[in-house]
Amino acid sequence: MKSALLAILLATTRSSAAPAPVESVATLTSVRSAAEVASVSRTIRRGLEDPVQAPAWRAALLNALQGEAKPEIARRIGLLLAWRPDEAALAAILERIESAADRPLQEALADSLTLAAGRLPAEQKAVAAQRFGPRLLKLASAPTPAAEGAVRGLGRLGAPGCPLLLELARQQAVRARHPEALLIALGETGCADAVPVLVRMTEEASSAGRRVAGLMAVSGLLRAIRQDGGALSADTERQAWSCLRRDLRLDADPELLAASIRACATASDVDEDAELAAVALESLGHASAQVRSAAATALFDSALASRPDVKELVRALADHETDATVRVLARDVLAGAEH
Amino acid sequence: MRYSVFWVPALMAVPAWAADVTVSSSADVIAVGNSATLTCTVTPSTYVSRVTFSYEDGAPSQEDTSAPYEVQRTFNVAMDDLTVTATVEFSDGSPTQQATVDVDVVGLALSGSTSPSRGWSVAYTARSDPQGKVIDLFEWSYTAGGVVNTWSDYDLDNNDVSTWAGKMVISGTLSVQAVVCGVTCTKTVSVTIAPRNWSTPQSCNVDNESDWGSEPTASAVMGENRDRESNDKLRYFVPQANDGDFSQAFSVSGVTSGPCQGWWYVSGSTLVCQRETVINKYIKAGGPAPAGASQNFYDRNAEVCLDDLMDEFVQAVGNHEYRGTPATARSEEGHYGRIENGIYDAEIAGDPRKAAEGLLARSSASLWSLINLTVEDVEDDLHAYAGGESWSADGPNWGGPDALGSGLRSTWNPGSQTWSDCVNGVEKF
Repeated sequence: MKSALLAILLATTRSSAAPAPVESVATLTSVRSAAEVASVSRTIRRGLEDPVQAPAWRAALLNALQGEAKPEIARRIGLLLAWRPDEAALAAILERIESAADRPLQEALADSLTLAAGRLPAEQKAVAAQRFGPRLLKLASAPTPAAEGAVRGLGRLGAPGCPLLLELARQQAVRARHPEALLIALGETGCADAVPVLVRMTEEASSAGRRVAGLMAVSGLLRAIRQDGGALSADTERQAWSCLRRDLRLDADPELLAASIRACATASDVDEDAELAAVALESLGHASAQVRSAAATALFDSALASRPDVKELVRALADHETDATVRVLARDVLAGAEH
Repeated sequence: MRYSVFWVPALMAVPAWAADVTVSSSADVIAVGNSATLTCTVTPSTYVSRVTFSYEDGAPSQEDTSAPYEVQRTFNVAMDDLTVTATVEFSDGSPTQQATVDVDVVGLALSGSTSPSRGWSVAYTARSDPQGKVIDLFEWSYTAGGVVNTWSDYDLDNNDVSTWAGKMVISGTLSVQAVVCGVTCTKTVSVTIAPRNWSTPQSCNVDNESDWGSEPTASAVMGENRDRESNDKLRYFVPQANDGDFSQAFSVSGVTSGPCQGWWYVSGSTLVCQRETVINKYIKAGGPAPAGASQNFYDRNAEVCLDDLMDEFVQAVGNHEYRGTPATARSEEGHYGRIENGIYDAEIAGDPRKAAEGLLARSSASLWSLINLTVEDVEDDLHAYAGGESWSADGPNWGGPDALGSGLRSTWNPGSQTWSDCVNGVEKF
């Protein structure tokens, strides 16, 4: 194994035409300016996207991560390993976190763990969940700086990570420590079994901000299930939509109304959802800029946006809106509608 | 040579002023951009010293001083009956003589913007130049991105004019060819698409959730900068349905007619960066005490560890998440400042809407892949730059030695229900 790795590294080092993985990764550990880091990172990402070159680039990154003790450098390497990861990349990040003596190093690699789990090729996710699931579960359950990354990673493993995540969601201590990470992760599973749990957590949210996050998670989950051709029981479906639509009223709290519009638009088709379309149209004239913004976004790219009366409403926003973000958005909606 | 010797005395008898002067063109009709040979014949040519060819279109004159008296000229201006005048000068003092010939210089006129904004509909119209010539077939082509689009217009409406219209989305070379008065004419122009002035709206609501945060244990998170709606710190650009899926943030269109037919481009975007900072409610003045504690974090630290620096401590957490101290747009000392700076500076991450504006593909699916990859690329660069925490050298808010973040403080131990007073804090905001 070692000699194979060495052969790959040597072969790549000898090549003079293309950037060499070992040298590029070595540069990554020494440069400091943000622009230099970005430049080297882009070179490495392009290398990782090349099916022929990717093994050499990944090998160079894996090698560099093993001995790296500085959190910021380890973070750079970890994020790149997570760009187009394979099982070995995920394993290496997990091992480095587990073996790290200091908390900053664990924390520095937490996001990489999440991203690597999410970006594993679909066919490798089930194997990864089986192979690394117990370790991820253990990491997520402990009060460590990488716990949140592990929770999120389980979510991004998708359906294979779902049973593990549901197990985690049953642990009161974890729910108390990472309520939002659990919401987001459950929303990312694309798993029908997660819907009732997520709906309940959203309904029990202790603050408007957390409820908004819950709405986004539920809507993302419904969308993913639909895209995968999955189905929910009639009762679960009803509960989920009831959760999403509870604040779809013009007299609701503006933050929640805005979130509900966005959530419903994410989970359904504005053109086919009469209630959502009606509220979104009414909301173009809402007193809250946040709601106007959500309404314009929901109508973007829908057939409704091309309707003359809707165009008039959006044009009024584009011309007279006081909030700059909404004004720009309205112009974008108009531009989209005119194409 | 012997012939010359023989003929010269014979021709000498004819005076130069009686010479016969004619001028002819190798072609009666010349396509713009093409050349013709112009020949002046002088009989006899004995005393000819110079022949000057001058042109009605104002082109510089040309001359020839030895037989055969001819020049080649490229005609670049379309004109009916363009008069070419040959002026002959003689060395024997005879007066100059002139002869003329008319040629038709024909071409194609092409109108339509050569620098349209991407997505604009442009009608390119071709007709003869000078106007009014019969044209039966216009053959158009547009070469862009390695693809050649063509269209043959047989002028079935019989107006001798052809219009190729459609949305212009990719820079390229537009060419039209037609036979005018028997000659093949071509007109070619470069079309440079002007990018739309797109930028991603950014905002950050400060200390946006009063109810956020968990008990101030050694591993508690003091503050966070994250997406406002999903509460996801890894999500910098929204709408983003699932990780790396930006299908709700952009609209794409396929061009169905004209030079750019078959190209897909990004027709609109609602992509935004909308962040919030949240500060742990347990560390604020008047915040709740951890379960089992008689004091809250603020009071405990004010009493035994940070004295009168508690307000600065909480402020430092807020500034770390936002724009540093003092709050400055694009400051490198705060997460949101770094996000702003990373989007502003294309060498660090760049603006994703700007990056996506010019994306083009030959199919909707390919374009969506490009969009997702492009924005994901920017998001990763941005996260690498703005999401890290080990910038102890970059300012007082980042938790380096002696900084408030990692300095001494009291933290709560839920297990033993006690405070660990004045221990080193973790570098986790």
